[in-house]
Amino acid sequence: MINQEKYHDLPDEELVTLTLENQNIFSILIERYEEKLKQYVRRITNISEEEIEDVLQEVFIKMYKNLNGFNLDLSFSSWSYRITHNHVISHFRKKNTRPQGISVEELNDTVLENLHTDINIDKDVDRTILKESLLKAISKLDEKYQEVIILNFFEERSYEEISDILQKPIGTVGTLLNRAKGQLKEILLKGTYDA
Amino acid sequence: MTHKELQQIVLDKLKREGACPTPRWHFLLKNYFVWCFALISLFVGSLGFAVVLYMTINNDWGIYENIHDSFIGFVFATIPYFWILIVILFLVTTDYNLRHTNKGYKVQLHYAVLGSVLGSVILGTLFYNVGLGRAIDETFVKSVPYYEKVMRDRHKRWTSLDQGRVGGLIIFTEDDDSITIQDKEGNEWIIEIDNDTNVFGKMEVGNFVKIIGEFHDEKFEAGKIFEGKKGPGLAPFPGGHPNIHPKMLNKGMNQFRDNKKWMKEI
Repeated sequence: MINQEKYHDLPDEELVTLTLENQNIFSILIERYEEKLKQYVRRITNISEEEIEDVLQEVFIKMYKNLNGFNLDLSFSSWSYRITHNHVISHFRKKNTRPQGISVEELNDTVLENLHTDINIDKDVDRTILKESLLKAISKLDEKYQEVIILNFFEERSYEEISDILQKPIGTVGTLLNRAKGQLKEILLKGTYDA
Repeated sequence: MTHKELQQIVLDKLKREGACPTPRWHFLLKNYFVWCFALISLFVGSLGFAVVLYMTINNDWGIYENIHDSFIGFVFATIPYFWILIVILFLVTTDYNLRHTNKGYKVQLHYAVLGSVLGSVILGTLFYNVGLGRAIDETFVKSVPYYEKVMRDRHKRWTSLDQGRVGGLIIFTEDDDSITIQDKEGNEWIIEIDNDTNVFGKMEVGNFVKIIGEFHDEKFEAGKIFEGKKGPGLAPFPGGHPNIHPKMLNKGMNQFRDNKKWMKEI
């Protein structure tokens, strides 16, 4: 094993370079991203914890094998999210299924507040009811809209980062987010999230 | 599962599989290939555009009424669908490849399409001006089976004696009442000219002419004669003409004169 302390303050990009010389250093990158990516997979798939662990193992192995393809113009964080996103998509494609919805317990107060402000919903609605209806409404969104909502509000990624993760132009990300918010508002106003 | 467990599982798996990162050249090569395909597609699409331009400019617009009943009908009958399809196909592949380069995803679709279209138009115009549009069309006429059919016999437009159209290089002018031309298939024709014939341009040996008239009794009586245009990439006849250098014309003059006599005898 390696002395983790020694590498703790190093930026991701430098750790990538060092990992190419010493495989064991990859464990620090795994440590840094395990929780974030686990959370992300949970949010975009709603699969069992056991399956998430399997997916994550495959993601990190894929990441390691493709380390030379990591472009320094990109942040390692965006790159790791991109690999995770693409892996999840192909994982479900192989199974002929689609990732289903997001986890209900994931909507914390900050996310709720941001969504609330952004889609301009009535502030007087009870927070618990609002939280519940918002989550149901998000799960009713089209997949392409769910992706951007999760990345922007739940993962707190900027437009540029979302563009790098989903490999779409920034303008398209903006358009998708606006449409996602519009659809979300429509579902909430019509109350069709229970259907 | 704790951090330690996942780290360990992943590292153990990597060691067990003997996994190592895919070499950098693999990724670089892949990106270069995508760029190459994009550039090749742009190049081929531009060549297609050069042919479209060549066919559109050299479409006998001024005498369409002698070829088709209506202008709209003439336009639809002469649109080079095949080459337009080639241009579109290669525009799509250019765009597809550009968007699959490392940073291609950052470019909005409409900008990528606009870029590919502009690239094809600029390059295609350049290719047309150096005569590539004509050269490609002629090569296809000579060596691609069914090309003539695909182009709806466009290249036979000026060898359609039964429809009153003939075109070729003036190889002999003896007097004011006839000229001898050689069409693109190498056939020689004596064209009768009378006072009712409208002549647009100069009737000199070495000039290309397109003639509208009537063919009977083995003679072609000209109604209208148009001098063909010359210019960069401009072919006086769709599909081009056999390569006859004007200097060679004088050498064959006597032979042509004999031919003319022979034709008249018939």
